[in-house]
Amino acid sequence: MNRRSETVLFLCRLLVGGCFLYAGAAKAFDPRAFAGEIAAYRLFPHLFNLLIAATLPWIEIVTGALVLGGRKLLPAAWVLVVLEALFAVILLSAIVRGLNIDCGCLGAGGGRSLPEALLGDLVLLGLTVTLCRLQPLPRDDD
Amino acid sequence: MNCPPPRRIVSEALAIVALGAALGLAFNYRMILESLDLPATPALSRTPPPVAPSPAPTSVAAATLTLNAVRDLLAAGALPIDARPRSVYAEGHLPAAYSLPLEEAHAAPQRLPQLPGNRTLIVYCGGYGCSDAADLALLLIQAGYREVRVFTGGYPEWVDAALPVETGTP
Repeated sequence: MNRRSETVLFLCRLLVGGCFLYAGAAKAFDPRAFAGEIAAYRLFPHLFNLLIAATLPWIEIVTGALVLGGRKLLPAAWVLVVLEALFAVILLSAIVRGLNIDCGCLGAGGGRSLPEALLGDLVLLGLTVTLCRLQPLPRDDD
Repeated sequence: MNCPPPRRIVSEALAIVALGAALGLAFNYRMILESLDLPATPALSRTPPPVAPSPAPTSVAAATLTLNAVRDLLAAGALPIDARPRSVYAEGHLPAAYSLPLEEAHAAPQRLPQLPGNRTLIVYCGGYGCSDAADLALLLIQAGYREVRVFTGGYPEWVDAALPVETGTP
């Protein structure tokens, strides 16, 4: 890998890993409020909203920390690509249905509109895909 | 034989998700257990269990109820109190719920004594950590009502349990 690619990879790791570590930590300690934000999307029943609110922030924290630390980078980045793609679909669905809600990306009261959140999510998706493409595949003996 | 890298990446990705989910469930196990409070099956209990009288709560935190406890108390004659705005109340509320928006309770405390003093009052709002029900419950306790409880799951948990609701204003 040349020096330029290494720099781009490092910056992607910082941005993507840092974003998800921060977003997960912002939501992990008030799961009921985050469940309320999820409920506003009107997609899942009450129990599912609570289960997602209980687990998703911690998945973000673990994957964010792995990407930031450069450990198990490809598997963690793939998890983030799937999460970001799913979130983009959910945001688009909410916009099409005319919901006027906060995205809930950074917990309750985060203050981001749905279009803003969709734009941010697509940028993050682009950075994560770039990270996946630049990171070499692990060898069989790794 | 070693796994080819893409299959290993997928299995490691799944392990990462499982680790994060396990941490989240462990950290929030109380909230999950409360939300999984399921009713007894007919084979185990053919008659509803008697509602044991409970001492008056000394704090709003001690007065919280699960969905099943709310159903038992309502069957025994408790009065549901809806702390949400009247427009939201009109869209749907617990059967026979009394509308007492928190804002109105703050603005006109003289309305509080109009509630029946000999019935358990169950205050609820929008669930998911909504604090209006707890705040209204505190006002009611301060106004002298002794049997005041808070239904933490609120209207969303009631609706998601497919329980009957009423609409319209009182």
